Amino acid sequence: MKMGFYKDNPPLKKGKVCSFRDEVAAVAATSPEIAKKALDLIEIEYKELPGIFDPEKAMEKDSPLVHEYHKSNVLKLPWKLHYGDVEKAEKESDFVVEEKFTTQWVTHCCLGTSGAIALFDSNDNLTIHTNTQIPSLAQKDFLESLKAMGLVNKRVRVIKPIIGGGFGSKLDTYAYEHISILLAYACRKPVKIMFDRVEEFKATSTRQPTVIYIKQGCDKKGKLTFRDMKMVLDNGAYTSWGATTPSVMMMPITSLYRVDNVKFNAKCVYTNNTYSQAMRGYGNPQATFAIESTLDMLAQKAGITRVDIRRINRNQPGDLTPQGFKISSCGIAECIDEVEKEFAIDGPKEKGIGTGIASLIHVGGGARIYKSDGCGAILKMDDYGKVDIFTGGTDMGQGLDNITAQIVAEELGLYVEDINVVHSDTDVCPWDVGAHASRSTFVAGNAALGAAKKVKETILEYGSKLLDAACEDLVLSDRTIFVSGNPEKSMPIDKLLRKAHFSPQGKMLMADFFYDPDNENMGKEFKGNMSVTYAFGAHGVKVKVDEETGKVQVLDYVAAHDVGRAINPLLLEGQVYGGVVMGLGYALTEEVVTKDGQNMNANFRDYKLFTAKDAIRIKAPVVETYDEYGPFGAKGIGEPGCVPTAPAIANAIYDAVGVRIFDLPITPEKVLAALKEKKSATTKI
Amino acid sequence: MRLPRFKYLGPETLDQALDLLNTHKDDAKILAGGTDLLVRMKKGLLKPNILISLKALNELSYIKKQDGYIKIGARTPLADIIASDLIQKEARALFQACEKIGAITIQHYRGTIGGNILQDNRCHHYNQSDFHRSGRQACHKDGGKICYAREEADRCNSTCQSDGATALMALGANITLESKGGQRTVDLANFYTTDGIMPFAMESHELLKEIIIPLHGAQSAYQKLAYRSAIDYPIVCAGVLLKHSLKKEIEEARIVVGAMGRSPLFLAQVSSSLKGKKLNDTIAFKKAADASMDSSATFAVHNVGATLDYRCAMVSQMVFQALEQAAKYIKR
Repeated sequence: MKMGFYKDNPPLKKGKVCSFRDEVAAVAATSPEIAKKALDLIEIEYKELPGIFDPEKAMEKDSPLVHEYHKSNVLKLPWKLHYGDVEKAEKESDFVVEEKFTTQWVTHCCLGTSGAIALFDSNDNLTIHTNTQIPSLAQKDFLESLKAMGLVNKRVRVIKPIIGGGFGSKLDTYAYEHISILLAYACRKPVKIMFDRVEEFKATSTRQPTVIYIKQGCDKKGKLTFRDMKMVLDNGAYTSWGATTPSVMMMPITSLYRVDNVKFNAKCVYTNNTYSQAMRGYGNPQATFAIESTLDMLAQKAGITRVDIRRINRNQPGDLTPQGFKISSCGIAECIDEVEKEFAIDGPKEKGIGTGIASLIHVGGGARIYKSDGCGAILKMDDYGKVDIFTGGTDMGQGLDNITAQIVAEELGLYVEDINVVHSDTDVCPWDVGAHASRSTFVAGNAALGAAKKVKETILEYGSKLLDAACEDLVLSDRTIFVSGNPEKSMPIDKLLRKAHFSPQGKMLMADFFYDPDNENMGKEFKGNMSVTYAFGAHGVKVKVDEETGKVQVLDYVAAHDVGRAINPLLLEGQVYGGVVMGLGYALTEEVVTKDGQNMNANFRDYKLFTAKDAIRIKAPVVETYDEYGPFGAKGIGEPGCVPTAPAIANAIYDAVGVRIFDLPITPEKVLAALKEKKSATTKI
Repeated sequence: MRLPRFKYLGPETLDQALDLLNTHKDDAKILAGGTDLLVRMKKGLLKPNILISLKALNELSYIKKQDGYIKIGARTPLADIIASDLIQKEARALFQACEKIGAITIQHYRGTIGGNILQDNRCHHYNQSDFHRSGRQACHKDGGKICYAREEADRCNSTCQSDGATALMALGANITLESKGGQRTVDLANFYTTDGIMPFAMESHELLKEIIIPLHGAQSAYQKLAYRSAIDYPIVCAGVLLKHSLKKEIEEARIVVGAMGRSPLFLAQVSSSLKGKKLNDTIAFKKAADASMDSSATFAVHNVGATLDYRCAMVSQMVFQALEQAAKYIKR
């Protein structure tokens, strides 16, 4: 039994343990007290082996191997691309900036902790209730586990309860889920595993830490000439989706702003640290931190304002980027305008106060990482004008159920309360690749819309007969069907449904639809239109830096996003606010502190998540570009909010006090140390 | 994490509470707000069989002015102290400290001033879950012989991070400890043992009853450095008190540095160096602040978060800012 796409992670480890979170034994009991006593009876003798906790050191020749069978600590993954001619472009550039950046471990901090309940029926079919963002792919993983247990041709039913947040943490199956299956099978009873907060911190996966080497250049006019990036990712001891985040890092690297010559090379390296997972932004925040920080440095070198360099190089509708992304709608220019409207980025400033700006690109119309990027929906109507929609899409707190109901209600002329959304039960709901890549509103929304359109057609056919009018003249609105321009000629929709049902050869209305976006898998050269459309945005921030303590206070924040169209403005703002606050934590306070691979701050007192008192007022202007492929014009907005936050903050700190921090999080001590260094450098001169 | 099983006792009067405490001694712990105690119990750091709740003892919740003193009942909620005009005007350091403790919900519903003073010392290596600690040899505070914060240390180096204690020590507060058939009042500065394992000189049958702050026309201030605006303990803090003469000269100064040692550090020598200095003598303040840093640096170990270097450097900042603030209030 092996988990993860790289198949290097058995749910129960033996022989050698490779990290502090390794699962080695499992016990099921009828009470936690008995389970604890049973655990105390297990005796294991460990021999101490040298550990390796620094990915760059792990790449050295004589470094101890995390997995001997793998022969090397560097994963065999092909994250390498080169479009155009970077070497030539560098020679021809008028200005070049070269820097090194580092980013830390942060973790999702879902308020609901993880857990699973597994049970087998008398025929060895499995039902598992589990916190997951990927019911369909989890089903596949669990089927493989059953197979490894010798249970072939069995059924797996995955039921996802209401969960308290995902943010990418639940995008892969975890050892505890497979262990609950093993235990349930062994004792023929339902087995529940619930994490407490410490376990949630220690045994779920983080965002991957990176070491980033970047070179960017521009010509005299500020036009970007090339971008060259190298990265080392700390993979931890096992492999999950964290190791594939370079595929998304490629997006800002090749396609944030117009730049023809780009090069990227990333290595994922085994260490004895905790292993990483997907987390909101999926590599994009790390890459954008380096790109947007050096863009400011480049602007300064070239003598161009920070806003101008972004305007000059902005993406535009109709662009084809070096990686083959087709930019359909694009509101990056309008987003920059919105930031400027709030405060003058390049205007006069007070001592210790500075402003910063940073932009973003992200997938906004699905992301074809898996063989299918699809989602199914089944819709049925009853005799009372109510709808049940069975969606593959997963709500994990972001509000997809609400969005789905709104889309169906809008299409069928009903009210949101008329729509019952049934989700996340693989026995009932169609397939979906999972809630990731900011794709749910776009893909699951289009699936629901497709099913609703099919049913609408049938309603209109009946309406045409019953109201004696052409289909194209009929309107569905306020639970009623009526003739356009002649509203007296109308019928309540529920009445129409009953007439359809209770007549000879009666019919009840239902439809199914599977939406698979017209995007492309990236080939060997990582070229292809990964997403049907792309989301853009720009963030602006004003900070005050206390030069005595190094503390950074965020005074004002504006997060402008091109969302295609806001289907639910309240939920959308919630996504942006949440994303920004997560990004602020990433920029300023959050860090999983480790000592020789062991998590030392596994609680909310010592892991510095922003508190309600730290959260600041955020303005979130919405730029609506109406994307032709989105449901009612919408694009994704789940992740973008946390993507450009860290560089916006770093740029503002530089603007305020003239020091640049290259290492996240930007703690007061780092700022103070940089201020000191700057002071001693100036006094020497 | 689950709370382990315990017996809950709810005395109706102070005498009953003292009786129970006398009977059960080490077997029991006092439960006031529980914001420190219950978290420790969940982590298995404390395993009392019995909790004696002060819930019904409203007689321990008061703030009053009497005979030139402010007297505060130990079970007074932090929210009451923050809301008190008397404290805001005449014991400003305490007001400023309480305002920054925990979060509004903790101040309002649960946290008490007595609990804040009696919160146990902390250390990143010690304040961990049962599971974390089970995978290694026990440290001094956990009943073992090792210190993870300072190599080869022969004793516990845990840190006192109480906001309230630092402010109260600056204010020269005394506390009254009550037990069955006895009562004693001690200077808060002498209440500490410099033993990280048991930081307070207090017997298991004693109950903290009252905090007494002398009023002598002085001004005080409290400064705290933390990464966040709520929840965080100080990584460094300072409480100061300045008493002045008619000539606007400093007659008495008290400088206390918190979160740097096993107890709040009253820096007597540094404090007395300000005697006779003018209230606007910024250079003297700066010197005292730097001296505070030098005096407290030796006590600190790297065990509450930020790096040791940074914390030491910030002692000087916190002390200086607190001195400036207290002087400013006098000048008003």
